[in-house]
Amino acid sequence: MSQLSLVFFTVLAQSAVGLFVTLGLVEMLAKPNEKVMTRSFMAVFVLLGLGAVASITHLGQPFRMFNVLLGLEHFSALSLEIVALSLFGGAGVTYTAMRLFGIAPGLQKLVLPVAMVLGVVLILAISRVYTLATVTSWNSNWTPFQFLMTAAVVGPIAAAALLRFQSVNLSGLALTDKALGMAVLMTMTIALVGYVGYLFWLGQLPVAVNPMAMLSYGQILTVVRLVLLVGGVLMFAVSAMRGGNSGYPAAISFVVVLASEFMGRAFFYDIYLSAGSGM
Amino acid sequence: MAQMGFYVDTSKCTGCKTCQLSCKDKNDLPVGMNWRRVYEYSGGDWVQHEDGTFSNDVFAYYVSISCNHCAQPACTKACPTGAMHKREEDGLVVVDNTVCVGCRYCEMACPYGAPQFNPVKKVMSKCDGCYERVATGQQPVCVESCPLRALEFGPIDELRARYGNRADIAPLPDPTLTNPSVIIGTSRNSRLSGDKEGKIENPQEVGL
Ligand code: SF4
Ligand code: SF4
Repeated sequence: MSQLSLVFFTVLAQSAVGLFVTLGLVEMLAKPNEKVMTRSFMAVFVLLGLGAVASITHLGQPFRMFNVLLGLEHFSALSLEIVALSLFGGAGVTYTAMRLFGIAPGLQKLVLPVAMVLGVVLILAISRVYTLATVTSWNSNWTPFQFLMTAAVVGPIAAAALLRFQSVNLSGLALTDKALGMAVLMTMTIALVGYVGYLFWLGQLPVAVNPMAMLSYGQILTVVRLVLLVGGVLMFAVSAMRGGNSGYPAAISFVVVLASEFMGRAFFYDIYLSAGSGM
Repeated sequence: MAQMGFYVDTSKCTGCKTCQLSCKDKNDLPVGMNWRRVYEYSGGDWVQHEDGTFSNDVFAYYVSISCNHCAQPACTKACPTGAMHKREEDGLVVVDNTVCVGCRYCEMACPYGAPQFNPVKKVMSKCDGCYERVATGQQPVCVESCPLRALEFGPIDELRARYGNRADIAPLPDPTLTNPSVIIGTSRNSRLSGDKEGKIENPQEVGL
């Protein structure tokens, strides 16, 4: 648990992107109630804001935080991550503000997909920070995969929870809710299969210590994480398939799945194995 | 001035750690922070022969490592502020602690454990090759203090002409990752990078 602020930052930022992209898809495909959607879009920036605060607590010298742009000169992955964060945040806030104040509805249709793409760019930029040639246990496509999956699993559940709590005046919710249930079942399956692949990959790394044996709590953490992930997703998906529309199962699912993602990420950071760990 | 670097002769080093301590003393480093670290690397086992007798094949050696002022430093590439920079005049890699934000990303990236976070100043710190001493014609303090004369410092080209170009010695990582300005003089027991028979015996001391 050495990098808690980074655990919170990365998971929250990725969840915010997942929520934004899911809401964007709902907006494009289901054309639901406007006010409800606007309020839901605003929630994205609560998640993103919390993530940003967590990232600043990671710095030894938070008051110098704007120095991180100086590294753009040599394309530091961390500087680029901050730029990507600002671009996604900027585009997302612009879009939400345009909705809120009813500015240029035609233009909104353009800003939304741009912001969604910038969200995905942000996740890839975060994963570039951690795919370092000198860190054996991070330097693979499993890193972007896991980061994308956090967004893909948390996003639909968070969106469903937000929409359900406001469902009194949300037309066409039932269909959207079922679609979100289906979507998260699919992304969870991909995430699970991938996670097993990732653990196998870790186990066969040509290093002197078994990464799984590095942490006394590594196995139990992994098991609990997977149980929470599956349990959380199923709770929401089952209620969606049954046509339930209470916000609570979705909200609890959201909390459980988020916790599972935090655990997965803590494991990711703790499994840091430098190419120079004497291996 | 050319790229400066170190030569570390593991056949001479006895693991006395005078280099580590003289550096600690000169730079007033707190407990737990060692800009120069002496890795104790050892391994081996009992081997049974056909006639039923046993002998052992144990081995041990020491590798004294600071920052290697790499030609392709992973730390400066990662650093988001440019605080971690390579000096043009001598190729020494130095952190400007008026710019550093203390994100510790350089620490993650360096495979030699060179950048270390100063918990009091809340910025990164590391071996600066004693560039102030070097500018006045002196040697880095570690080199001058080594009682076995196992360390040398100078233009890396000159050192390479004299000692060759080996740095792929366990427990150091594959040198192609950062192209370090260090040469390791081998000993009878030396193992290559990636070796799985030995292990670092003082992981806590070297900050693993
Ligand atoms: S040894 Fe580490 S800190 Fe020193 S230059 Fe190389 S990568 Fe940077
Ligand atoms: S801790 Fe300082 S020197 Fe290291 S990467 Fe961050 S800003 Fe650069």
